[in-house]
Amino acid sequence: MIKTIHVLIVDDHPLIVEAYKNALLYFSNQNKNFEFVISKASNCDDAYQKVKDKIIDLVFLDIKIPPSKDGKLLSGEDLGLAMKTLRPSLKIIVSTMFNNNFRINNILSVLNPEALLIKDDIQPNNLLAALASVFDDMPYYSKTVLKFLRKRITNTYVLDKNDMLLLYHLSKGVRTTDLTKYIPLSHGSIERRKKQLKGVFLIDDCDDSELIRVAEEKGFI
Amino acid sequence: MQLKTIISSIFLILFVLSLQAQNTIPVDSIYILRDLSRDEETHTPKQRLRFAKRSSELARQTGIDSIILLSDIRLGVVNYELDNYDKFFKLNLKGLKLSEKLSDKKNIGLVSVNLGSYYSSLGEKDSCYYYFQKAQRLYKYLGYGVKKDLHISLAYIESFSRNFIESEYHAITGLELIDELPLTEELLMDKWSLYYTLASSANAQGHFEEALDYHNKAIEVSKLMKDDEFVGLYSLNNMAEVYRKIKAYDKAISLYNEALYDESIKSEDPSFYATLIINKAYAQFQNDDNSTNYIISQLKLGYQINDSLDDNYDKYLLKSAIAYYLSRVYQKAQQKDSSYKYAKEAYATAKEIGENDYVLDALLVLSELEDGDKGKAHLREHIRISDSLLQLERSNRDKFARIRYGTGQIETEKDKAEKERDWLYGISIGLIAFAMLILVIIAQRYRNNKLQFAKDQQQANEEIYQLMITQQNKLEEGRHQERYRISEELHDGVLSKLFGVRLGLGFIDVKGQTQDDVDKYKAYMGQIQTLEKDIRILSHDLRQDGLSSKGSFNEIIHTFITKQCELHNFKSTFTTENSINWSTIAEKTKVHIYRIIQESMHNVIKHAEATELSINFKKENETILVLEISDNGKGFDAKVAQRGIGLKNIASRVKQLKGDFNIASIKEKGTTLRISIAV
Repeated sequence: MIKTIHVLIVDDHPLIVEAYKNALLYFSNQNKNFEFVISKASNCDDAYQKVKDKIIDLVFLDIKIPPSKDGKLLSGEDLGLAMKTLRPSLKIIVSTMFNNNFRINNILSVLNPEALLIKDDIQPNNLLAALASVFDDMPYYSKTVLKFLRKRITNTYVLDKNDMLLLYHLSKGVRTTDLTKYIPLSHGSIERRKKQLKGVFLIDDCDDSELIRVAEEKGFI
Repeated sequence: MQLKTIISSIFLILFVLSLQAQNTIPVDSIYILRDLSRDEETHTPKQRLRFAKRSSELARQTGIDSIILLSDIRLGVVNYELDNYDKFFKLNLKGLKLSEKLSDKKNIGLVSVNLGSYYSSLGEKDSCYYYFQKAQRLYKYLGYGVKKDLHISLAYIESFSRNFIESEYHAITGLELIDELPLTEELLMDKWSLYYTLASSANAQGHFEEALDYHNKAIEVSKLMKDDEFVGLYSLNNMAEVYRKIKAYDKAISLYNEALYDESIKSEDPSFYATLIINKAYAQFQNDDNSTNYIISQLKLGYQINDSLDDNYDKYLLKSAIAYYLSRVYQKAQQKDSSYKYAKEAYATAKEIGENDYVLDALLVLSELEDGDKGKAHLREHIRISDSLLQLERSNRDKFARIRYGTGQIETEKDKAEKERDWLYGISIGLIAFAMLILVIIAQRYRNNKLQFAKDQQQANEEIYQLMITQQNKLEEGRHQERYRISEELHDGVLSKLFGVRLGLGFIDVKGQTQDDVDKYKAYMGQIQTLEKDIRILSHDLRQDGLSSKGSFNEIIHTFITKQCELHNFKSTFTTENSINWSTIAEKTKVHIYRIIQESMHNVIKHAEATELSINFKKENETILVLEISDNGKGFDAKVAQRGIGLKNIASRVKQLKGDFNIASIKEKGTTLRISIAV
């Protein structure tokens, strides 16, 4: 029995879209009982519209894609959530360039996709493995994500959302004075939080770069 | 009193001896001697003369002209009081020379008045005129007392010269001056003598009521005197003479009686006593008293008393008067011979002393007594003398009028000069005050400018700092943006495409001619993946780099230090405690800190010959910022170097920040500058 699966590839790079297509083709060649109907979208609006209009079973989702014109869908995360709401049975394979722990954490906790692939990790064989896994109803995480999960499970630090935000923005090189724009905290409490974080990581009297280094090491960024 | 005198004398002798022993002449002792010579209550005139002489001698030993002058003047006054007029005269002559040498105007005036008075008492009008003129020229410099003396003498001499109006003027001026001085016995005497002079003048001009009035005033004054020396009686005598002139003989006689009531006069002043009795007798004669014998006997008694006295002007004057009276009495009693004899005597005596009024009276009697040519000759002489007297009077009047005029002119000139001087003073003071005001204003403005300048400089400093920060920020911003852009481009563009290419290639089923080719293909695929990772890391690093460059104060300092170290070739370490939040520290403080670091770096480079430098910011007690700058140079003596301009600059900056500042320097080991500032 041939199973027909409607796939939507969301990526703004045609080369990548082509690569996914090839991968799917390759997969169907190897597993004769799968047949793919492939459509593609290069931005949020297009993708959302397609999911709304057509039957879509599986989505290859890039996180960094052009946002929707109305500004409601800013990234792959937003789009994924919106699509899941439209079609709860939808399977999502996220493939992203982001390999930092914060984004990985965010994607996992917000979207919880069927597969999460960091583009760095992707090779033809593990992409095929991911597909197989997803069709087999098993989540698939690429190497980097697995490493991250392992770190998170093995350490005991409890950081809240604001701590994570703080570390994230610091790591992005945002100035201390500008941090209040990104984090819903006052300047003073940001400073206090930083100090507290340094305490948590046992690195008192160090500057912020050290904090970021350690946070990265511990898998928070 | 006696004991006191002795004690003071002994004291004085000891004093003088001690002075001689020391062979120095303290000026004080001369002053003390002068004061002693002035003290009439404690010392007798002779003692006072001794003091004055001693003071003059000591003054001569000092050789200081001004001291000699004052002592001589003092000695002259004491001599005058003791009636040693010659000495008085000589001392004043010396005094005049000395004071002219010193051009001491006040004392030139004083001795001139003294000399003038001396000549006036001698009746030498020309000399008197000369000195008084001299004194008048210096009128403004004279003291009240001297002015008074001058007016008294002038009043006297003018009256004497029958220049009554002038005399009256001087007398009244003299009285006014006296009223301004505290009344003393001496001044009472002066006052009396002025009234006396006024009365005589009025009498001589025929203003008899006025004369009586002045005499009454003189008598009132004489009553105030403790020791009147018969001056009241002199006034009574003269008053009686006035009554005689207005033919009020009864009143005259009663006044003579009143004067004669004091019998002591007979022994104390026999000449005056004689004057009184002959005047009374003659008044009785004029009153048609018939007791001729009694009158003659009284006149003769007067004559005898007068004859027994020492020779002097007054004696001859009185003799002439008595002779004239006798001649008149005998003439009336028809005893022509006796009358003629006394008239002749009166004439001769008056002629001898040059008393022309009396000569005239005598000539009148003689012309009446002798008939014919002789009588006519006497009359002619009478006329001639009275004419010449008028002439003399007129010329005298002119001469003295000139003094008066001259004085007036000199005075107006002086007033003018004084006024001009006052103006000059006023203007000078005004100018000086104005100049001072301007100076003050300039000084104030200068100070303001200085303050303003300091303020401006401060502001400029802060602006420069701000500019530096802004510049740094902009630079950083630009760099940051550019890096971000490149990072983004790498990440989203290059990396994605590369990924796409790799994945695309991955799904091409490469068969290859040999297994080796397939392996190579796979290896290249792996390389591409590594490349992707590299690019990702690069992109990531480009962003991460933004962290360290925050355009902060730290960055500025760090840049500065690094540059300096590169330039001057030494190693440096720069550390800051992380708890220092530069954004909460005032810009002003940061500017100062920056400048301090600049200054001390400069010192280190210039003097220390250091190879390592460390700059360290710490925080103490949360509120105190500590900056430590240490080097490993040759060190210096901190105490000596405190005066260096660099350290002074640092000190002044630290002071402005209200901080503390100390230097620890060890020779050949290095120097640590430690600054703590409250923030």
